[in-house]
Amino acid sequence: MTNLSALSDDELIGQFASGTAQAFEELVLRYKNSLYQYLMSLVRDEGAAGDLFQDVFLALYTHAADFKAQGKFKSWLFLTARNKTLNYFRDHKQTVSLDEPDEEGNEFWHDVLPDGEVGHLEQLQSREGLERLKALIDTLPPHQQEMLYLRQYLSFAEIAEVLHKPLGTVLADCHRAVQKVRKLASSEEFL
Amino acid sequence: MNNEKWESLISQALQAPAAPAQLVEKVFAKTTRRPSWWVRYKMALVGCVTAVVVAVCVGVGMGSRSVPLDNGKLVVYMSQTQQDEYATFSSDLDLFEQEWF
Repeated sequence: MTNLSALSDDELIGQFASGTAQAFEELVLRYKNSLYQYLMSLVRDEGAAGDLFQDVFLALYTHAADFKAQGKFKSWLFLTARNKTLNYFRDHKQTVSLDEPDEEGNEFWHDVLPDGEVGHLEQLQSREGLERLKALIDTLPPHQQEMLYLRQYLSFAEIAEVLHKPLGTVLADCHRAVQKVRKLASSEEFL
Repeated sequence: MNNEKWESLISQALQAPAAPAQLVEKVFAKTTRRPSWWVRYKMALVGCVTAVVVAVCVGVGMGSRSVPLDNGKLVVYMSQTQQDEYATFSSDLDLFEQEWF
């Protein structure tokens, strides 16, 4: 029996389209955690995230036969999740926008960081530090949070496909988001 | 180099929590583990046929409750009414049966 966990995403899609139900289940198990976390980062509600989670995989189940294996399954999955989340915001009249420019516009953080940053990094590597860092990330503008979350699962090229942005813009936005976290975390107020 | 360390820290801070197991089961229940349409319709069909059979049996059972006419009981009933015109009903019934059966 084929070891499904060793197959690529495209191969699993092909197997499922041929009638192997377990191939679909393997895809669900492979991406369940990252997809759920991404949805939670956007909607901040377990019920809504759960509904969207089911919707995304139901869409995959329904349209798998139409999916063209081009090595872009991950992009498709997160793009579908994003679109469904935007529809959710629209249907619930929520004003969260993932495309607004941040308050700094297009400035790059060229500030010189305070001395002792290495010490700050060591402090943040503790469990408590990581929790505080996550709480700080949660205060960022939605689109910067989304960028940092997507970076956990996708390459820059895949993020560009999901967000329909040029690769250069994605690289710059991601760099800005990391720099902002760095600056905020290094401030005395945070530590 | 420091930027890479920060990216690593951010990755650690954003470690994905596990999706709830019941959520995954819901997906499977609606997709790969959902009974096929034939199985679902077969169950509905069996239910309908069973209901029809039960209804027919009940109907037949109710229709067959009529009992043969008990002449003795009829005579007793007629006598109990103490009406003169039924006092000789028993003998009249015997004559009737002799003539026709």
